[in-house]
Amino acid sequence: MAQVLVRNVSKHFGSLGAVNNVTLEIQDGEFFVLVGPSGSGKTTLLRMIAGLEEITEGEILIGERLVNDLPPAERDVAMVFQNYALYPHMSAYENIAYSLKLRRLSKKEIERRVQSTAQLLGIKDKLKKRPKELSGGERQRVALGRAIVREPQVFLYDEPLSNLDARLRVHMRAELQALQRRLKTTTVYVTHDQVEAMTLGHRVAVMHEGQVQQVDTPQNLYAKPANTFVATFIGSPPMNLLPGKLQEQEGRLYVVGEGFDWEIDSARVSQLHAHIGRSVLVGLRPEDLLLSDKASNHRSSLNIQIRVLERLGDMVIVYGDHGECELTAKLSPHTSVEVDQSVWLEPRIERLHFFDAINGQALG
Amino acid sequence: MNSTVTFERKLGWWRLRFGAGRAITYLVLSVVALLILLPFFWMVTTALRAPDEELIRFGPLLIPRHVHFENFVQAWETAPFGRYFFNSFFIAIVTTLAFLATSAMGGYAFARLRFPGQHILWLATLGTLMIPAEVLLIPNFITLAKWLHWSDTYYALIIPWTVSAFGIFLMRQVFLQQPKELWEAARLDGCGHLRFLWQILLPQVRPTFLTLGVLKFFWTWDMFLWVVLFTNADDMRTVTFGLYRFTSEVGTSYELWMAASLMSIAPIVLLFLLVRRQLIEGISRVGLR
Repeated sequence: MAQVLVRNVSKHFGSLGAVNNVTLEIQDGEFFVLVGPSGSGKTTLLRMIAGLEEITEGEILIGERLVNDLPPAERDVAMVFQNYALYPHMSAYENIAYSLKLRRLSKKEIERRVQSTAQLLGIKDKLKKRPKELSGGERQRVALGRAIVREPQVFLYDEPLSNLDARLRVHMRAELQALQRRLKTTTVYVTHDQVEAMTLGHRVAVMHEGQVQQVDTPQNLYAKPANTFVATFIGSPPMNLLPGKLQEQEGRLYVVGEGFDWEIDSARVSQLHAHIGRSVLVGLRPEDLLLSDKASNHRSSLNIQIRVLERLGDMVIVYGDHGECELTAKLSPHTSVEVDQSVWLEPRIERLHFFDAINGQALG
Repeated sequence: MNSTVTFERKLGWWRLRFGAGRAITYLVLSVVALLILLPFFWMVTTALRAPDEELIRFGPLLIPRHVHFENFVQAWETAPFGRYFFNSFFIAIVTTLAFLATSAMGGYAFARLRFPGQHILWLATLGTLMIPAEVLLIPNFITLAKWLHWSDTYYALIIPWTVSAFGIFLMRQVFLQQPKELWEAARLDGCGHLRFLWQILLPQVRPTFLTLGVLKFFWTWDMFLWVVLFTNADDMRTVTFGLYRFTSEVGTSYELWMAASLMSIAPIVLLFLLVRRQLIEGISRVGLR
């Protein structure tokens, strides 16, 4: 087990910067997730940790050892690939045992380690089969076995669940979590799926355009997004963003926009005071919009005409337009609303988020 | 009702068409098979014939009147065929093995490695494919016989044939089709390039690799002009040259010639039968003809 330090690391492919000046401190035994859309640089960063990609600038340390110039096999890391990358001509046993053979471990030791790994993953009866004779889930386990058997300091996962069907993915997600708890090995996990990121990671780094946008616990990412990218990337459906302006009237702070005029609760006034008079983006999570009746003050509610309605059983998601902004709200499953119906939505004022309208950074 | 009748008529027409189509296909294939087999049949019957029997006759007369197995013994004794066979085997096996090694490594280098001048080297390699072998005969002769003095040595018969642009090209193409994650997984497991090539990559392309080897063995076994050009000593010559011994100014002993020919193709036929399945798989996989 080891700490992984990524210091000011950049990777350029010609003139294209895939990763730009990234610094991360991954703790010993931590399950650390890199999440972001395609092309955000998360996989490149993982591959640099693995040694599969050269580092253009910066340093990577694994367990206090600078690994920049070490070949992958000497970094004491194990990687699980998206398409498993099992050797097709070898049995599951041989696949798992191969790295140990190359390390010239005794046959007895190899047998012991492979058997205990297979036992851990529940694939003891599949060891003689070749990859093409195994199901997707079994292949995934063999790929995991190949990583575990080496007893590395760090596990690196590159979207390992994305080739599995939805049900198996949920199952394997839980297994990976249990496995990490048991082995307590430092893990760096790359995914584009925010649900995977939120459920698996002790901490999550959100990446966009080669840069880390925010590193935090899943709860904090959701509750206190650092900028509009994180705010809209984490959470499904994404956070609503409405343009507005912070104004002070008679000693009270208001955010005023098209069709709304909300008084900001006193607890946040001091945080936002410095931004009075500036344009902001007001963030509203879909679950923080509640159905209200028209009788209440209409400047406190937002009027939308329902364009799309999704009944998911445990909730109803409604989509509609408020001015030029699309609004999404998660409503109670018992709500009786229909498409084309005009409804009023009232926000939970205490849960509003504020972002700078120009650079998108969170305010306060 | 009317539409049902029309449908049935159409169905009948289709059946007839495809039935007839299939028959024609089989007929054409049978004729082609016959055309290919006929020379072999003629070779076998001629090899078993008496020396004075006519060679070309029609109908059942193609079958020899009396079977003369002693033709094989006589053919074997006409020339030092023991030595010829040894030479042919030795040259074909060593050439094939060396050729497979250079093709695999060359193909790997072009497919997986990045090195200065790679593009130009690759173009040069492909360029050699365009040059007809006949054009190179004289330069090769001068290089090997005059400069290196390799006449009447195995070097001249083996070394020039151990590398070919075709082999490198073919292996590069099949290596490129393999997922790059295999190499990455192998690197993490502790593989270097050579180990990865032999232990991981080549087993993935086994049918193609084997096909290349078998074809190379066939080509080397059939080598004639090169042997004539670079050998004078009888103990350096090969089976194909031995067949030449049955023709002289005073005539040709067809029955002995064909008996020797049969003996000369036996190893190739045997090899073909052994690897037939993988050969077909390999050829169909790379679209090689």
